[in-house]
Amino acid sequence: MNSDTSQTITRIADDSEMIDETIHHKFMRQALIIAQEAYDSQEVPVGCVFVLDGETIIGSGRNRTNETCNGTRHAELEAVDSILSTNKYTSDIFRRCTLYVTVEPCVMCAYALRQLEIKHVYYGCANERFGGTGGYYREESIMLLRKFFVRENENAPTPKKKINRVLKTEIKPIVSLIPPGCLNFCQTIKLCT
Amino acid sequence: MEDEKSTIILPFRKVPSDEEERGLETAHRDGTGVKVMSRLSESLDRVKRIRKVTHDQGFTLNVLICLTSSITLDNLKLLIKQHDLESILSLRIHQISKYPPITRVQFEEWNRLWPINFREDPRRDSRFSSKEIELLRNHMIRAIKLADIARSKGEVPVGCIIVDPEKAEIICESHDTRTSSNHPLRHAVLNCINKIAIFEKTKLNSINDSLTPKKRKADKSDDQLIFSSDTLPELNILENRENSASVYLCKGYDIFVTHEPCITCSMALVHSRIGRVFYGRSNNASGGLGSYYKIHTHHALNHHFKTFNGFLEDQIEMLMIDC
Repeated sequence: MNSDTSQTITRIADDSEMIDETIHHKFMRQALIIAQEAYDSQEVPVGCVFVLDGETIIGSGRNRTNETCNGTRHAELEAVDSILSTNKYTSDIFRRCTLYVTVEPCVMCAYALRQLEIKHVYYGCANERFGGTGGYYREESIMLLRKFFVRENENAPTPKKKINRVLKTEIKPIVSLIPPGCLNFCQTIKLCT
Repeated sequence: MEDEKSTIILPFRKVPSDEEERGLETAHRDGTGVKVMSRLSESLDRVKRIRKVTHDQGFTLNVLICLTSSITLDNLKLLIKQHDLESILSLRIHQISKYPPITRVQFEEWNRLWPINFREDPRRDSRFSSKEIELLRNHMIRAIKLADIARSKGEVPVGCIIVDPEKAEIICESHDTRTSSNHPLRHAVLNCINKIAIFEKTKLNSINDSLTPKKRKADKSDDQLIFSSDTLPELNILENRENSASVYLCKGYDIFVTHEPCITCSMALVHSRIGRVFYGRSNNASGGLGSYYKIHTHHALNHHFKTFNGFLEDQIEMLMIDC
């Protein structure tokens, strides 16, 4: 388990030197480190950071559904609650915030972010069911999820035995209509109308 | 007893899926005047192949051969000629239902066009005895009471309760607290789900503590959740729910909420594996269970549940709110 963690994080650190990192990569890397923490705590590995005015991280969160016995404790809601519980900010603050989250938000979180009038959302890998266009550290986000899902979930009502599952390492290339060099801005969803 | 069930007028309506509400749509099929062997059919599960039409001179058999898309009319005529069936066949195009019927209403309507097969799914059937309805009504009255309490505290007047229908026990009650908590997401439904989780977590910790003498540290995340519950009505969780190991989120529970849950709350109910949802007033602004989306019947999601609306709507109507 420990070697897993260090491997992933080293890989991310290496990447930061290898690729020309934008500010978005920098924040997504933070989100990914938090996702790794979720993985190490037997949670679905999703992590996120909220960035104020494109500069400062004011809160972060990761999935805690197993730990809290609550299927709604997703990374985004965890972060929102931690930001508001400090009493340092009111809910207006989200209008100035950008969210970086390793996996595309689910319907619950997406609509919650909309109610909070969040400025922008960047995500790492898409929810495969709803299509995908790729993003920041997409491969790392996918591998972390795959590693999680080959593990057995003791919290499920009838845990599935997954002895025969193997971890796939091949990641399909992104099929995108958006020309390369577009800075992956297809990942920007403007949730506020 | 059966008779009693079927004649009761329900005080709420089922919120149907799009498939259940679907009107008749047709797909072309070739119908012929007499029976021939079919060689060209693809899946014809949903329709009967032969229809008998009686008239003064006796009867005619109509037979479905295939979809118009599977062969051209000329090729089909050629085939009929090759088999020497021209004299007994009169070829024509007939409309049949494009989809299999899901509800009895659809079956009865679509069947008139061309006979179709129908096997009613008993799980789709929603019958209630008058005793059950009385129980459900009491739960909804309680939810309305909670909405009223919320209003008196200056909150958005939405109330909800979660019930274990097997034991007819109220598991948890809550109302909206987004005003007092200064948190735009403290909706009644999310509050209720969070409270149940806190209770389950506490119970789990106490079980773990009794198994291992080491005391677990209090969870930070739990504190974060609890801060919002101070203002909520008393936790009404029954301490001795048996078979605690089998309790998984809100699996099998009913929720009664005065207003249609918003999209976030609707999806939270999917994540919590709720059993059934009863709500009063529809929410045209952001309702996720009928108005804007039908999240409870969405094919891409991994959990589905029955939803009923319009329950005691008149009483809730006065609590004018769209959230």
